[in-house]
Amino acid sequence: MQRKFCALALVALGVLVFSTPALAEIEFFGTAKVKPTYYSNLDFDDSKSDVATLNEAGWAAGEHVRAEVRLGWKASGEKWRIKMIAEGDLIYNKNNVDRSFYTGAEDANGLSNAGAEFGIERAEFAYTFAPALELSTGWDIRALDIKSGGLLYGDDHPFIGLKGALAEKTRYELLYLPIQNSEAIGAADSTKTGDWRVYSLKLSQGVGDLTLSPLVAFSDNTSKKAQVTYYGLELTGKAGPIKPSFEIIGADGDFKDGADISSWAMFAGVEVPVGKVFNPYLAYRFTQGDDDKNDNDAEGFVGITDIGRFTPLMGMDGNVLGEHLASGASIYNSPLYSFSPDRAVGGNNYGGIGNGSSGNNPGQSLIAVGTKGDLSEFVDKLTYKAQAFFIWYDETGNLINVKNPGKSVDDYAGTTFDLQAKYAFSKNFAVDYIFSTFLLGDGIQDQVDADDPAYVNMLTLAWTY
Amino acid sequence: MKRFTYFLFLFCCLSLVCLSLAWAGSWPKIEAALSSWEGPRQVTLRTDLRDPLSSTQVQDLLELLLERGFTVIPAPPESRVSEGLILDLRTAGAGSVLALSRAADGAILAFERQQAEKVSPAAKPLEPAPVPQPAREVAAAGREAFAPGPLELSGRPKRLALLGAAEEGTFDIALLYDDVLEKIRVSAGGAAPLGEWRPQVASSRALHVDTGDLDGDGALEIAAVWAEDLRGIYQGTDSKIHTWVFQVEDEKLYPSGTDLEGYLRIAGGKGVVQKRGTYSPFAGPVLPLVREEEGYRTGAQPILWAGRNLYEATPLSTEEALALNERGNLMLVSLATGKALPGGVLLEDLGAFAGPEVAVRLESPEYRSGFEKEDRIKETYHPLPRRMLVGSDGTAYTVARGRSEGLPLVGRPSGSDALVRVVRNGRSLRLERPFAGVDAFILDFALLERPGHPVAAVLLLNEKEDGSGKAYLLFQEGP
Repeated sequence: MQRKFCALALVALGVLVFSTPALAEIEFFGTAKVKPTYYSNLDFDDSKSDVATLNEAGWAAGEHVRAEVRLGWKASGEKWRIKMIAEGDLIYNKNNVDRSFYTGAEDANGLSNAGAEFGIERAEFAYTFAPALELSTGWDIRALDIKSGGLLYGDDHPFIGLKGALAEKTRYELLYLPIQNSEAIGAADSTKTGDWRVYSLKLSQGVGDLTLSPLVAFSDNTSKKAQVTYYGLELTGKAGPIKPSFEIIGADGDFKDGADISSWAMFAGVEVPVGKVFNPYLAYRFTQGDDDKNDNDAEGFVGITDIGRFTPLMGMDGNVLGEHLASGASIYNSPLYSFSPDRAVGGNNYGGIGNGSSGNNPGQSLIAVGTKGDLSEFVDKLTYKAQAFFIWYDETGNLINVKNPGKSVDDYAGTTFDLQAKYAFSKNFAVDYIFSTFLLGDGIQDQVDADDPAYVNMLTLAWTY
Repeated sequence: MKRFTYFLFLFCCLSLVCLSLAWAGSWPKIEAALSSWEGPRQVTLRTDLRDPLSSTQVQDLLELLLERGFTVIPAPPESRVSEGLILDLRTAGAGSVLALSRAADGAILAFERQQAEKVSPAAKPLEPAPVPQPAREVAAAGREAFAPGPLELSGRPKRLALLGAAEEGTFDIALLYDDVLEKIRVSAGGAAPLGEWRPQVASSRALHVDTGDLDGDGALEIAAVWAEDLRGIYQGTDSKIHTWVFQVEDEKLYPSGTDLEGYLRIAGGKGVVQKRGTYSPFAGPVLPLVREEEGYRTGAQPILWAGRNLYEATPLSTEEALALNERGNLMLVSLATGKALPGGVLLEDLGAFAGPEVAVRLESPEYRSGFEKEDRIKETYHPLPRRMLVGSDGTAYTVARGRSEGLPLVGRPSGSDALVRVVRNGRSLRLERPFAGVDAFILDFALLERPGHPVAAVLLLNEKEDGSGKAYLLFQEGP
């Protein structure tokens, strides 16, 4: 069905292009990424076999090749624009690439790999009424704090939005995100069953070369019976030669007939451009943890989607901490894209990617140091990024010490080290490689009674057009 | 709970600050009247200022009106207006007054007074642009120095400029490559390299080269501009501009002074410079190149350049210039204001010419198709426009692009490029094609003007539009 729709959309677009030559500017674009990857020991225990974890293409363990293929088109006129992106995201497997839905093509879970089908992954439709008022809707990337720590929200959920410029340096964005709207036939109060809606407002005020952005978001998560209001402030920009970024988010709410939700998180980072080869940064990322899962307070910070993996300072497309260290694959329990262990412990569940995070999570205090640069002085078109994260749990009261039963878990979770190098053969083709490892601290050793690092090795062959 | 009440209070304060900053403007009464206006979105701006566009008040007013969706018609104070709104700006004593009135019946809707603009005591009128120097006049060498047909060059030069005749039957040319500046001597027998200079810059690309007698010693200097591409995995590509002025001594090239780190062009025998912006390819005014004892530096006094970027306008006199409009047509503009002069548009299509590109990082990357680095637009590429040279008779010469690469993968190049000239007839422009078309891409050219001979040109040709194919030098003589 998705393929038919996609083909129909392309035909309709072609008719439109040839029959109305002066109607709009139309542009085609796309990417094709092939990622041979090796996950090793995400459970931190060499004596156990690795179980599959989840990435964008589906369940994968050990050596696998993920392919993400996107074809997009944009049409725009003076005040309107439309964008659609069709995507196929799959693990190299005959059953995925050769028409997924035939009998016998089911995966080990008995499911066909629907992600392999080439369907509309993202869409955006917009009209600009005035500089102060642009209406947009669809299911495309929207974010509240992706330019700083990514603690609260960044994802491609469905949305209806209004945004614009109130003055030369003042902008706003109002978003309605119907993240989940799942009806249950015959269920009482069915209009609210399985629903999760978020309403947000962000203002951005330019102050010199800095941008100050207060924001507020209300998460009405009836699916998990939790309502949370997030308040925050973000700061980005330049101060002389350095680039500071900062955010602070507070969360206040409660579960219906359940625990109070009260938590906070912050991020602070600074990048100093020293030279072409060496551009260091220092960052601190904090999410509050819960100290007692049996009390009536869910104090572990849970955002709407922690999007740390794609933030400017600490982000990397494939480091170990940004992978899905959850769903049984790893005790650390940070879901895909998140840097904090917001799925750890369990109970008081709400929010996070897939609505699967826990208000009882231990939180995190993370210091990041890194550098990036252009190595063309040595090898033309070669660039790199290297970083190390030093990770502590904020609270360990809910964690279980397996190594020394009865004793508390140490608060130092571990250290990650990431190294990425990229060679751009041309504007349209580049190859990059990531080596990433998670070295255990006493905190994780206590929980797994083992001391074996986890590794991710990922090669990316990327075509862009 | 307490800390969140505090947080809520802090949030409300910050929101009020932002909103008040958003609402506050320089003319609150005028802005309020504009917001409540429901008639035609047209404002006639009547002012007694001699040069309205140079007034910061007028500039602020224009931004205010255009942001609110109004079209603005400048007019003198005595103009009669029948539609929309009228905004009268008058200087009055120590300040100025603004009155917004309804054109239909003259009713005044809002009135404000302002203090006089502070005038910098050091402000001086902008310098007129250097009148372009006529193309090189060559007394002796000319046709006989060049082979009868295209002369294949080694490497892939991207730009050229003439240095003049050396010995009889020879001609010296400066060729700019991505990684070297080379002086060659052409004769009927071919081309011989003489001197070269390599920038100690990795990942460089050729942008522009010019020659001119910058220090008045009778010998030509060479000005060469390169872009250095600085890459970041997640930040994209950003071009840093490097520029040196070279003296030629004993066939060798010597940089005169340090890297100017800005675009440079030689017009009217004088150098003019413009800097790059952090997030824009050009920023700030066009400035003069100033000779110092140890080299050159960028001067401080802006030069009139029709409000355009350095390579987008070519002065024809101290008052007029040639520039491109938004549709890509050449037009005559005022050098002072940049305004198009009536009747001065050339409607002929010169074809789409894309010169060497400057990469500019985006302040906020666009998430075009996803979150990952390949899915984001992290930079934009800005091609420099085609070269425009002015002859001694005031005629401008440039490249008309008629050749195309053809369809991707399956197409073959077709069509011809040609050097054309734009002739002025009072305020109107006329296109002439004195030179034959060539079945190759013209990357760059230089003019030869010799007493008693028609204008000639030296063309730098390439099989490919981006200069990555075989390169040739071709001498063409006009009728």
